[in-house]
Amino acid sequence: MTEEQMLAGTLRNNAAAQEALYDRYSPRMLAVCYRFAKSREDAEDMLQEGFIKIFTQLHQYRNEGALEGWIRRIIVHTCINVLKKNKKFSETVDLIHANAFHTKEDLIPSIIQAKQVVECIRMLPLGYKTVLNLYAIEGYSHKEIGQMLDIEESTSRSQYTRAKVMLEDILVKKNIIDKSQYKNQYAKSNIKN
Amino acid sequence: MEENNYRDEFELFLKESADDFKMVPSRKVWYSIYNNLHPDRRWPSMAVCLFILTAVLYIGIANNNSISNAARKASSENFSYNQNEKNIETNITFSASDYIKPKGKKLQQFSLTNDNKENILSGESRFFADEETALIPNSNISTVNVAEKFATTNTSTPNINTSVKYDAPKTIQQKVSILNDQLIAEHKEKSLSENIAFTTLESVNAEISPIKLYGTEAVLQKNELSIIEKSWTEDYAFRNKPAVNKLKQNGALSYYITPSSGYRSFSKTSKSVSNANTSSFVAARATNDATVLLDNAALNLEVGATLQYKVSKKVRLRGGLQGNYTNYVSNVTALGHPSQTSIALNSYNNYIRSSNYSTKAGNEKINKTTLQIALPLGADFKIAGNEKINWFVGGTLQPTYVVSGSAFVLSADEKYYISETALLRKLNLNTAIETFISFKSSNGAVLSVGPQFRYQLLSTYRKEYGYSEKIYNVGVKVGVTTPF
Repeated sequence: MTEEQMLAGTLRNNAAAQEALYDRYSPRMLAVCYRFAKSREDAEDMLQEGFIKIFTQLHQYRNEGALEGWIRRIIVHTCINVLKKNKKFSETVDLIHANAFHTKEDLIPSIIQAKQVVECIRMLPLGYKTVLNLYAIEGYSHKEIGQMLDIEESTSRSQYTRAKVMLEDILVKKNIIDKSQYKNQYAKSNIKN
Repeated sequence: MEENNYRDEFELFLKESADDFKMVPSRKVWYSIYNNLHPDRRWPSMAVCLFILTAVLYIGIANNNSISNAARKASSENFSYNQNEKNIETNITFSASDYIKPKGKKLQQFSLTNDNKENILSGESRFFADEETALIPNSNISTVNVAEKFATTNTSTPNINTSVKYDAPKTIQQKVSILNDQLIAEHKEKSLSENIAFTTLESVNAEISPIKLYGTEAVLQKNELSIIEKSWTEDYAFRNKPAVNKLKQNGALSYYITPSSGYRSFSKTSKSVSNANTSSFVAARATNDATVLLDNAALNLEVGATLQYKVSKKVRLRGGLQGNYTNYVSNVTALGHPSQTSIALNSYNNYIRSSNYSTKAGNEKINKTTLQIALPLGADFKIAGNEKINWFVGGTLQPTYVVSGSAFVLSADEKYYISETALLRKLNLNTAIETFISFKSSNGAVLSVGPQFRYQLLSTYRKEYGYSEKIYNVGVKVGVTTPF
């Protein structure tokens, strides 16, 4: 089923088209939810709520930009809404405490790099994790993040800086990245580009 | 610069890693989404469940009744068989055991007097307990052929009691034997003194008494017979009481209709809604201010049928099926051309929609209606009354399914009405309280009339919508209740 067929069918409330759309995008979207959520169950709840919004608001999609990007934005906002109901985002963690925070090596799985990185992101405190996800991965600006999370833009910046330092530290300590190697690697790719 | 470059690289690394990561959700997530998107498709499965439940209940009740009927029938047949058996036996022999066997009811009842009748009747279980013992053939019991004895020697007295080895309770046994002795002795003396002959064989064959009397004895016999008959009739009635069908006795079917006036309460629930003066959302409030909504009450209707079951003298439960039609009217101004506006949602973004109606009060009227199916479950409490007239108060909780409706929702800037039926909540919950007077007619039907207030507990619209609307109705309920 093509994307156009899926869209047309979903707009007609056709269950088969809705399922096809869900099957196509749910694995990536669950991964998005998983980065924000505490557990897989929470992530699935977010995914469910997000897809209900997607199906009920699909008529608003104007074919401007990729459908996946539109779906992803709804999923991200759904995750933020769910988190906002439960937690304040002004929460910060002192770096001193943060150092002690990531000493639990056994918490980091070692399956593949992508999963390892995601699991390391999930180990961050909620405020750090959310800002880092939104800024570094989802591409929102600090101003947008501030509006989304009801926090100051400066708070978003400081949270992000701390989150990044903490995450780097975790990744290096767990040998997931070699700071110098990966710096060179990306430096080369930047030169090529 | 190096730091900036490094920062970008790190972010790129994170983004690539995160994008490579995928997870497959469990299937139940899709089922939950599907059920949420297609709530109407749950009704077939619910209907099947209800059908199965009803069928199981029906089969259970039917089997229970058939078992009871079968038991009653068997008991009745057994009884008639014993009666026949008694008749057959008494045609042939006049047995001592017949006197005390419960199957020889008439003879046993012969011992009943007005004094001991109630005692005997109250000892029903003892009679039945004895019956089993008595029905076992006892080869030790010597049968005395009274016909032969009376035919051969009128002076001989059948020694009935001595031959009985029956282990019935002494009171009954003694009473029977004493009475038998007395009767036979009296008959014998009378027949000798007055020289009145009696046919012993006929007396054995007699329905009521084994001894048939003539002359002055007939009066005595008549009195005795009346007591016997009365006792026997009472006992028979006691043992063969018609089975009571509790459902028929306590159940009733009620049909009703409730014309009412429908209003709404309206409030905002979302931060995304602009800071309008929500206190201005008052139904039936006339003003030309564009931010004030002008709604008028309209005729609403409720029609339904319920099964009632009386659980005590004052309380009865009820449940049934009901159809609701809700309606109210908004005075609006029709727009010359559609205007682009948005619907306030609780989520991050608002619906962008076009509208044909301004909330500014005008000549145009739009009806906001819903058609609902509800399952009212509740109870009535009798406050006062007599056989003819009663006063009740009652209440129900009504899970409701909205079959269809027209939804004109308020725009985020509160200047427009937008037709958006997708925002209608499909499943809702109503509650109703009522008080009514019921009049019982001569044919058993009961007419009920009284005021009712019904309130919708959940908003008419889905929770995503930034406003909450709750419909309430005030009406007069008229109903007819007929017993099963």
